[in-house]
Amino acid sequence: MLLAGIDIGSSSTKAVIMDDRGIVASSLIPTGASSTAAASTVMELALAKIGAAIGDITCIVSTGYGRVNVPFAQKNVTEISCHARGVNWYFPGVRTVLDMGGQDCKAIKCDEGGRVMKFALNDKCAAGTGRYLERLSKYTGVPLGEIGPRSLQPVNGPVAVDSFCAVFAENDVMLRIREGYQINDILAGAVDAIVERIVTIIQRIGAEAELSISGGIAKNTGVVSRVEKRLGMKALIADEPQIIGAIGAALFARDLAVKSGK
Amino acid sequence: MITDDGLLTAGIDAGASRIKVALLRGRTLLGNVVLEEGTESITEISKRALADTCRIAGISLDDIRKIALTGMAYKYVHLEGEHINESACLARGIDFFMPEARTVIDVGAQKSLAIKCNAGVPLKIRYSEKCASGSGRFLDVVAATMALDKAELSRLGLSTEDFVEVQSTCTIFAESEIITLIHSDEKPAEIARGAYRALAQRLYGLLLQVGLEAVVCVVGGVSADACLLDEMAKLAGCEIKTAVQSDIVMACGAALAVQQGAI
Repeated sequence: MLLAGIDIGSSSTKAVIMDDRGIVASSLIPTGASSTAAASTVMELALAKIGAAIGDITCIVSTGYGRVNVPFAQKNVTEISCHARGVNWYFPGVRTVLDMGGQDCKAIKCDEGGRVMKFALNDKCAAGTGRYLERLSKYTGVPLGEIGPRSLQPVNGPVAVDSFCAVFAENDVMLRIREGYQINDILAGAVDAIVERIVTIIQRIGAEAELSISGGIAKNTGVVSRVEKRLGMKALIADEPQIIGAIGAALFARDLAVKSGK
Repeated sequence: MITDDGLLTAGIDAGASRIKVALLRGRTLLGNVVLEEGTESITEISKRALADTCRIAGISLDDIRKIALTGMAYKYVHLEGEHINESACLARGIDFFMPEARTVIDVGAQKSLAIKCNAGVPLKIRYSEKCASGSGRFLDVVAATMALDKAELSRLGLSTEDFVEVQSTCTIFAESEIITLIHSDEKPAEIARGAYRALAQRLYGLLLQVGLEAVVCVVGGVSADACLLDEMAKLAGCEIKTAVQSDIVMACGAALAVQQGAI
């Protein structure tokens, strides 16, 4: 039996196809202007990898911010539930999940079955989201993938950057560049600022071992190592941390298929 | 106390985007200059603004008895002067220009300050300094996103009474929301009106925190924006005034405040 989960985020759309043993295919594309079109494309890409057609999939569940825009999904489930479920499948011992996407940041506390016990969310403000890092990349000219490593190699130590508002942080960054500070020092200060916001969100649910980080942010070593240091625990990170939500959605698809006797 | 013995003082209000200087002898405004900040240091721009003001007033820099510094960038003004906090400057400044004002909000490029005041004394103070959503910066971003200058944005907003709701509080998210609204073929005028309404709601919230008492006055860089004033008046249910020389209220307040200490 094949099952699929589709996670439509604000910046990327992910699809995962699973069978009874595990993941058989996955794909990731930018969401772009239409979430419906992104959902179809990402699904086709995943199906092509295993030479299957959409009719071969027993059940499909959608999640993420564009989850209602997937006409071929049988059901949609919130991304909070899907992330908890997906992480639990990967790392059963995890009780605290930090997921940071393009436009929000969430901390989830879950039980041994991957059920959500408590969560805290920032989707109102760009500080502490992937958007902040994207803009930091734009203003410093440092590619997104290099921000983490360079933020861990300050020359003279981090330069203070506003931690509350991404707009003010940008002003700070531009001012510091003009003042001639080292880019690595500015990046260190900016990543410190973003971690400050993330930690506040995690503290609202209370961090409990083990910790897992998912979403695009999990690829930023600067953020991950700072969060680990602040919370005093190692973070478990999946091979492809951006598809955790889609894995959760596929697991919910399995529940649905089993329940309906397929 | 403030005397009319002709004490010459200057107030420098170093904001997030502009330097404002006012020169007063007693309670007489002799000259003022507003300069945009750029790549020059804040100190250099301040010096230039001060020199220009002196020239306009026809006095020598050495005649100034005392300089008062205020505004969020005051600590970057490396001139010998006394720092006066913004709420004190706002209360004194509004007392100079519009003594009947009781509730005043200064909407800056990066933060806003609301006070309740009487006779030049602040009675209640609230800042919105943590985030750009309640500042002039919000309108800058909206205008830039719609490829308009601020005056065009204001006229566009005033051209309609209808609005599209702009839901994002965060200025950065509002930028993407506005792009989405434009692509969804919403009317630009209604998007503009919606953005003004969103900002007005946040500023009104700040006013409510100090308590709304007539006369209500808006000062600062955005106070000349008729669309913003219109939206604020709708929310407040009363006329919203603005001082004639709204840009230099703080700088004048600073110059007046320092006259006390200069005696």
